[in-house]
Amino acid sequence: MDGLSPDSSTARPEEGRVAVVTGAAQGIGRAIALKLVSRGYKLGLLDIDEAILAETAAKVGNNAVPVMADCTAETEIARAFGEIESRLGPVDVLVNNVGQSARKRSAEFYLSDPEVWRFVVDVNLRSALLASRQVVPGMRQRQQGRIINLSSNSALAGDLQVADYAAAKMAIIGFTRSLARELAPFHVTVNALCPGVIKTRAFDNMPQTFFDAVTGRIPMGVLGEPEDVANAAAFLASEDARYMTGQSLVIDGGRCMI
Amino acid sequence: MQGDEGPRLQGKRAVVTGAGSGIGRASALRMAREGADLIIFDIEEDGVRATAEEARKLGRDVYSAQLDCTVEADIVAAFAKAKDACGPIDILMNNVGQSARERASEFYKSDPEVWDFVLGITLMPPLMCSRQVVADMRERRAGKIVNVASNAGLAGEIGLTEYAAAKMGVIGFTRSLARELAPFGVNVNALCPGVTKTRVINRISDDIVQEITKSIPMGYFAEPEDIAAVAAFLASDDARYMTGQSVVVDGGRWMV
Repeated sequence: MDGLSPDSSTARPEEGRVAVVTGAAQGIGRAIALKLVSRGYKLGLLDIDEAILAETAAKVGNNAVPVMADCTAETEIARAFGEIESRLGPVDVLVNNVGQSARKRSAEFYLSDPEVWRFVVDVNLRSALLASRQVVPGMRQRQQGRIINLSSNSALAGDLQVADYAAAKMAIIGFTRSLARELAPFHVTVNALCPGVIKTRAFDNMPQTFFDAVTGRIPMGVLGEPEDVANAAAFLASEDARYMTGQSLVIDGGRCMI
Repeated sequence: MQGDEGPRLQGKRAVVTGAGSGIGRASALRMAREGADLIIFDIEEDGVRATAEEARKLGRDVYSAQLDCTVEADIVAAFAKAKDACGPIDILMNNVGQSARERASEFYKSDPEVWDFVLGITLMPPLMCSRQVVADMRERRAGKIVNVASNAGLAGEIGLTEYAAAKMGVIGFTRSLARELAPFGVNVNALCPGVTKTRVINRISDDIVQEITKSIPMGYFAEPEDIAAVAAFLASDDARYMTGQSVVVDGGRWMV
């Protein structure tokens, strides 16, 4: 059976495995961390916001190692993974979740600022490369591992005012596919998740007209919950998805179909 | 069961077509293991009976029947009878479908009768079976449809022209039906397996098996259970915000 027990539906092979989630303090990252700990993983949690990270780590419980780090800074990433591996052991699952649009600084492209592009590409794309670079040699050597990259349906659909973000998130898909091919012979899978609009604090202060416009574009007519993305991440991390690699799963209530 | 929440499909009634062997059998049993009661069909009566016996050993309620999914009148009758016996259907996995196998050929010398056969057994059954459950799902504002497509549709394969067309047809059907049913909370997704170790593989020569293996980045064929695991995910509420998608399970051969 190539290692897949016919009882994989009831076994818990995840018990004790080590997962790292970047941008874990809030929103989707936090939901993924809580989901994975409920499946028995030990967790390394990275975030730049120390206070909120501490709150999330407390909620995750004894199996969490929180490390404050700026995921765009190579030295900070290296230090963070060093600390996590020394305390929990080698990383089995990496969830590259950190990322954001430029938010208040986002603009239509004709007005946009190259400084903002650089920030958006660094925080969405470069962070995933840097974190993956830390764990890939070990996964390759141990012939096991899961990398889950957060892309976005904005990359697929294209959205106004986020040209830089859409570019970076599409680049995540290119990275996912190439790394998937490199690591497939070593039983390491690399997949992407493309959430649509998910209820996180990014939308806290948006006016009702914004939500009306957004839900009007979603066939299911509702925004996603962070848990919807977390469930898919937990699936990709599990043995259930061992034969899937290089794929992008769209979780957006039917807006983009691939 | 995936850890924290308990069996994901407890209390659900799942239909699997072509459940007598291969991916259909593995998916029916996986769903049963996750708590689903079953309605299973296959054209081969012995096969579907064996799957039913195995699922009953797992403590599930199982309705099984012989069914040729290319005959519309038989499908209508079989679903009506099953619904009478079991009540409403929560999950439909449209698994029936096949290539022309021995009659497969390159397109330039292909036979329109073979096209008709392949379309009739691969594209039409998902439409006909879905037609039997969609009205109820719409009304009950709940339901999951999982259509088995193929990575052959996405990648294109020499000698499988009509099969690739039919499987791409399944994807088009999936997307349209997903849009129609999204406002009613019904999910419709497709699964695209790569080469899977089923009876079909036994018909292929060792040379070709080796050649195909080389084209798979992960370097081995799927077990039916690998496909079944993804089917169970799509049939569960873990995937409730996914609809209209084609999930490729092929060891990295084709990436979407």
